[in-house]
Amino acid sequence: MSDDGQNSAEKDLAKKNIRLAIILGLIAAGFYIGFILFYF
Amino acid sequence: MYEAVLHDDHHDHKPTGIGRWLFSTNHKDIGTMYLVFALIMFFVGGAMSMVIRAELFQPGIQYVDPQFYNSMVTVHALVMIFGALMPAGVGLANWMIPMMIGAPDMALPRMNNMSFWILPFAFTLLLSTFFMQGGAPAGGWTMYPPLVLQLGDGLPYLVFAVHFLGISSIMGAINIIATVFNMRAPGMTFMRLPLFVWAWIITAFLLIAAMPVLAGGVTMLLTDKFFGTAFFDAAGGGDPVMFQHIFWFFGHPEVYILVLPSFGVVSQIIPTFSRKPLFGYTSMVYATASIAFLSFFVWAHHMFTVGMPLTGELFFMYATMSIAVPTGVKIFNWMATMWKGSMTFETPMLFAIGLLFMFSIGGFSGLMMGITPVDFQYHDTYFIVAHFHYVIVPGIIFGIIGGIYFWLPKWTGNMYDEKLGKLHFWLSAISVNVLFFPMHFIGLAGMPRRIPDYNVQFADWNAIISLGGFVFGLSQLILVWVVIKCVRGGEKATDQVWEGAHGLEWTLPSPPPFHTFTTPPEVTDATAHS
Amino acid sequence: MPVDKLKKIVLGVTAVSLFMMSGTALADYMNVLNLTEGVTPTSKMVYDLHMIILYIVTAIGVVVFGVMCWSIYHHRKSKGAVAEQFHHSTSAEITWTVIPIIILVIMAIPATKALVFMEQTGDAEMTLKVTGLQWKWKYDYLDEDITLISSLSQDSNDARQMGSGIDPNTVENYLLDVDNYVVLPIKTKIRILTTAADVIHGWWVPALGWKRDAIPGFINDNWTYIEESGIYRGNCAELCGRDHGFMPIVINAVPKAEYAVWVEEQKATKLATAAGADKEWTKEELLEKGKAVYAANCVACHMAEGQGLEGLFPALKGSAIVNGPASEMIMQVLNGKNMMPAFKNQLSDVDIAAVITHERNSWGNTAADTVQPSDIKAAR
Repeated sequence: MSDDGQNSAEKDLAKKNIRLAIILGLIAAGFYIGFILFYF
Repeated sequence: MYEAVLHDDHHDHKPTGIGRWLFSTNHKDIGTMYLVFALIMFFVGGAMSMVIRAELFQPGIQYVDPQFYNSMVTVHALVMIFGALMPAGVGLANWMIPMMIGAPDMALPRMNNMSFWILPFAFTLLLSTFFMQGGAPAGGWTMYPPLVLQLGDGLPYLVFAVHFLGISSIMGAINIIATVFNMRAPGMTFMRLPLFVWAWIITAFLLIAAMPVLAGGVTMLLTDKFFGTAFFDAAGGGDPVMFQHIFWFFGHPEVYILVLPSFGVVSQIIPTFSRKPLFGYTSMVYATASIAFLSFFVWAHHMFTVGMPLTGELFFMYATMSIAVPTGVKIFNWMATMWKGSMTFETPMLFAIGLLFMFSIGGFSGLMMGITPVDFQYHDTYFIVAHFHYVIVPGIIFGIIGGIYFWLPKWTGNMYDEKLGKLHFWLSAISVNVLFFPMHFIGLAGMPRRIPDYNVQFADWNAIISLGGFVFGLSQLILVWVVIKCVRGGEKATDQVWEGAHGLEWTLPSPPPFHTFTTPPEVTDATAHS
Repeated sequence: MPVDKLKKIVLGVTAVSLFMMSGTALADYMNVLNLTEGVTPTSKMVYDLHMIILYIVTAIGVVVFGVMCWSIYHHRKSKGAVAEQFHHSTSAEITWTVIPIIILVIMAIPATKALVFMEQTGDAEMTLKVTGLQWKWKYDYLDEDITLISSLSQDSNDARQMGSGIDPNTVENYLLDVDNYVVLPIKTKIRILTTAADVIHGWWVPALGWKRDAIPGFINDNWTYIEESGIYRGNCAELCGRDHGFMPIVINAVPKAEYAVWVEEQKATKLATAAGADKEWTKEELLEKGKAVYAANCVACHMAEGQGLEGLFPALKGSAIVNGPASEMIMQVLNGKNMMPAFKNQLSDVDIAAVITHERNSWGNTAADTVQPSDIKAAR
């Protein structure tokens, strides 16, 4: 599976997925960093 | 595995050689890798438990130094929890979620690959500590300071292994949430999702909330040892008990992270073999969510003996008892699914029913332990060991194994050997009780946990327990045989495989092509969850 | 195999098992099935609560498993059952939500009462401070200024070494016996403080009805009131390192008068031992004492010939520290390192001086000097 030959609908879906992943990743990382800042 | 369908499907070309696995972005292959890795780690962890049971077979120290024994106890748990149970769950999720929701793959296929390959790396870090000065971690999987800080060279490896495992789990969780939120086929509304998918959505949120806390806690262990902090050192103004709060704030949601996917599997299996829809779909979703929500409020029941104020002890007692309610709702709903159904008892159903009986036994001892004043006698004894092994082994693991038998024909296109499957079930079910039930007795009678030797009054039960353990361990080899035999061939499986099976995954060929649902399917109530 | 032969075998095995379980065997057997009632008001309250909860969950189990078994039997396809298709019932959901809640509330009431009772540590008549060490217990009778150190008894310690050749069945109270019993008066409210000197330990005597963690740097407050004289044995209940399983607790509960006599005896002994630390010891005296201290505290890890265990416990034989300057070795023994405990908390100046002298003169080590108790005292 490669990114070539993606149509615009697939590109939109990929954007949505990456955006949600970044948000969730920031939440998880945020918990960790917040934890560190709080305690350290 | 996919050879049978290849020649028919021009678009089913797939990579070959080692690159296929190293660089995979395919949810089926990655699911397979997770499951194979989990199975290997299950035997690694299992071998450690055999060392434990061999030493405990008789009073006296026969085989291993007590320090090494403590390492076995510690690493057995770490390997089982992080190397076998969690990867197996994610493996089942990877295989089944896209097919269940009508999606072509997971939302982030490359991150999916990375999530998997972190695991062998992390376990290399962890297991390499056996060869270091000071040996492998030996302070329990719970890693309480100050004891864990007495570990020699291995401490940073332990901490970094835990960090990497956490990163892998979090990435997996993100992937699952993005997949289910963004890639459901049209018509696949949330309330039409199979309960396995719901279980994983909820588990994924638990992972995101809980794993960073564990990461923070072990980071603090590292800085206490090497960077002059004193989080857990009273002499420096710190408190060892704070680590316990941090650990168990992760640790309690963690046990639900482990069990909810297995509950999800049971919710797929029981309706199928009862030929009847799952009873109380909405209640099941809410009960699962309630369990997950409540799991954040009960952590201190793992620490009732640290010397908490009375108010704290009472709060955590009441909160812990309350989790019995949604858990009971789930058991009753499964029973109501079976009730007035038309049941057959193929291997997946045997494991699911086994879970209902024996997870409940674990639930009963758990309720007993939740009663704080009595827990003062149970805590840190074999009663606790009995409880958590009941919920883990004939609970979580039977769920995973049930799922493997349930879905093997779909994955491989071949029916597994039903006679062998049943043999595996009965040997496991009987030996698991010989192994873990007597632990209730010796715990009540006064045997503490995490000890390599004991007073002779406990000898008879320990001998019986060890025998049960040896039989149980050997019985799991049957599973390996079943899987290998099934991959190689067997009676051809239909698309639906099981007479009572409903759901999008059962509309696909067995085995499914490398890429499925490249065009989204049509979803109506008829093709939605069972 | 013919059915008759199988029946005979099963019958035979059952008969033998029952026979083996008869008499005292059965009584012993029953001891290893359940919690002890114990000898304090707390332990009895806890036991009763445990039994009530056990009965309740058993009853629930019988009902739930019974229904499941019946359904498995009756609703089988092979029996001709045809599946109905109902899949919800609000009244059922409410019923099986509300009834468990009621049962839980019923359980919570006596549980709360018991916990409140257990937390009342006031009005004690005496105080015992318990300190957990790797791997022994130290007891300070705060009102009497007496200190005891209580370690696993020598015969248990010998038998538990790997390859000892000693059958644990021949050791009385194997792993549950100590050199110095904790003598306590019965019918007295005793405040028990638990703490630790190195890592977290757990102090547990089942007959008293509770356990509590012993946490370094913190003090936990507990109490007991022992109603009957007797010997009560317990264990460390929190993983604390290599010998977590080898640091038991033994209480000797005696009538108050006997306790008072024991206290006087202890005070007299204490005066006698204090004298030893200030004098100059001969090499022979130190070596003799050091050998005993080594056997009780060091041999488990560093082994009988000082050879240690590859990868885990360094060898003392030929060790750079043992053969180097005495001052460095004294610091290591006092303060510990990684898994080695800080012996300053658990051994006296005399003991430490003796064991260091012993090690520096054994197994071919070349240091061959002596270390006096006064050297240790100065180094602390």
